[in-house]
Amino acid sequence: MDEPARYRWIAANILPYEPELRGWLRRRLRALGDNDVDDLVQEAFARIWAADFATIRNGRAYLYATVRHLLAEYARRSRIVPIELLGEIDSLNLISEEPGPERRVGARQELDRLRVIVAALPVQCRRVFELRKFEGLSHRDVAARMGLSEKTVENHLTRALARIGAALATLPSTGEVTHSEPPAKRADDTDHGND
Amino acid sequence: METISELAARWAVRADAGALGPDEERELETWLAADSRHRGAYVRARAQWVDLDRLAALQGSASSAAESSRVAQPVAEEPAPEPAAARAGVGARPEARRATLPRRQLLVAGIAAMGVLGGGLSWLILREAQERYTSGIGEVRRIAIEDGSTLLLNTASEVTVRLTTQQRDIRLVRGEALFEVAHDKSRPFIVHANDAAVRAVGTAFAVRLDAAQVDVTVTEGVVEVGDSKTLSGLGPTTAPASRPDVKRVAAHEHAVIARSRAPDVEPIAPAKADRQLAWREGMVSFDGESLQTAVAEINRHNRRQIVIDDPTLAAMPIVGVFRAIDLEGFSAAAAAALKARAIPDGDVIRLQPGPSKTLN
Repeated sequence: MDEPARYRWIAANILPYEPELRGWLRRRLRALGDNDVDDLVQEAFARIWAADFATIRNGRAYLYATVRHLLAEYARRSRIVPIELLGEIDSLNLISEEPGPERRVGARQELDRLRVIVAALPVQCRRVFELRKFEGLSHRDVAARMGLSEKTVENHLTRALARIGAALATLPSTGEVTHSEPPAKRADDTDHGND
Repeated sequence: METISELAARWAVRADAGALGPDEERELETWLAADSRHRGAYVRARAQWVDLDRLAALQGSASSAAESSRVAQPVAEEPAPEPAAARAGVGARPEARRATLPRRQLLVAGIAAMGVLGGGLSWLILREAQERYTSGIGEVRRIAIEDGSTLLLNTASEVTVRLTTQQRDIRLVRGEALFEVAHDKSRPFIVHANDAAVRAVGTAFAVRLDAAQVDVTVTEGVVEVGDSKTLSGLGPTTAPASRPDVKRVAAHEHAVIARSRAPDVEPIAPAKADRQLAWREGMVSFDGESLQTAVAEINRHNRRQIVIDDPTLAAMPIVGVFRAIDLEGFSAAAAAALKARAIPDGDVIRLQPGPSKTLN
């Protein structure tokens, strides 16, 4: 797999589960601040990147397994995770490997969310993003079209990606998509055939 | 000061544009090596940027559909189909996309000029002209047609549209399309595929054309299926359902029309209909179909192809929901589930029996 294909693999197999992972970490491990969650997610992506994707049969399970290892390491170094939470971390083992259909947000819903997020960008930032992403113009052509420097185009795109990435990585606000807390709920179940 | 995520976003944007010189490459490598979180944030940002292309492709097809509803596009002006897979790639063919806009403007100007010179005649010619729409491999394209109906083209599909005052004639030349038909009692909406036809007034249904048969799945309302000639010949006021060679297909029903045979109509569970139409969301979905069937389906959406090297393996069942253009993901999942190996081999991925590799 070449590098672009590896990014696509991450996009298809890991990114969809980041929102629920962040939600779970925030709710269950209250000792974690936002920065800790960001650190964990970044460390997890770094480890997954180092893996041989051909051996990963379930991206979601692999993501949780990776985070569990990381949490255990943090705990051993008694950095951020109180020791009594380790039992709960172990329960992450019980996550069902098969994501239920409700956890797959439909492409149309994703598109609707994206529209809302893009609409909230500052006007010039939004226009630059649309020209680059929706109309496929190069940085240079966007710059020419809008009378901006390429550096400014880059700044706008950076801001757009950072904001959109952060927004898409959190769970949709209530009412948009409904699903339960899979890991926490399943922790008490004896099997995972009850979806 | 910028956070790690913001720095990563900047590097991702620059790398994606192919704008990194040798010095910057080194700078990036140094930054990535400095902290494992940098690497993770960068990988995440690159993946998000790639993922946005998938959404942009959907967005793009929606907005180009809006444009084509305003301007009827004669055949020659139809821009070359652009597979979503190609768009999703880094540096996705900006030239082709850029060419679309001026060409459309030219076309508008052309139509305006014709209007001045030819008056009603050119309008008539335009109205009678047949429009052709195609989708590339891996592309799902939404097209708004003038009467208010919508076509959603699945991968590698082609339709022609011809609107007259009496009839709305659509031909599915190849592939599959979902039709959301604007209600218009005076002009039946007829979809032809091979010798078969589906006739509707206002409803939603999907038609898929394969070598051996035509499949019709109705999601809303009622349609009539039958022979192309029979259905075209009937005026809007006749009640075709009273004819023995024409069958009604209602919502949650599915009809199969093999060549020169009467349509075979049977109920279809809503969950199954949804699965069959998962391509609307850029997905394919299987519930126990053989690997061979699943691979044929996923291959429709991709230029690279999967080849199954073993007949026993080909007959094994597959369950799951996959992104239609994620050939690698599908092969890896199938290999893991069926204790097989997925081996990249040039333009194909081979699935062979073999020891499965496990998680971690």
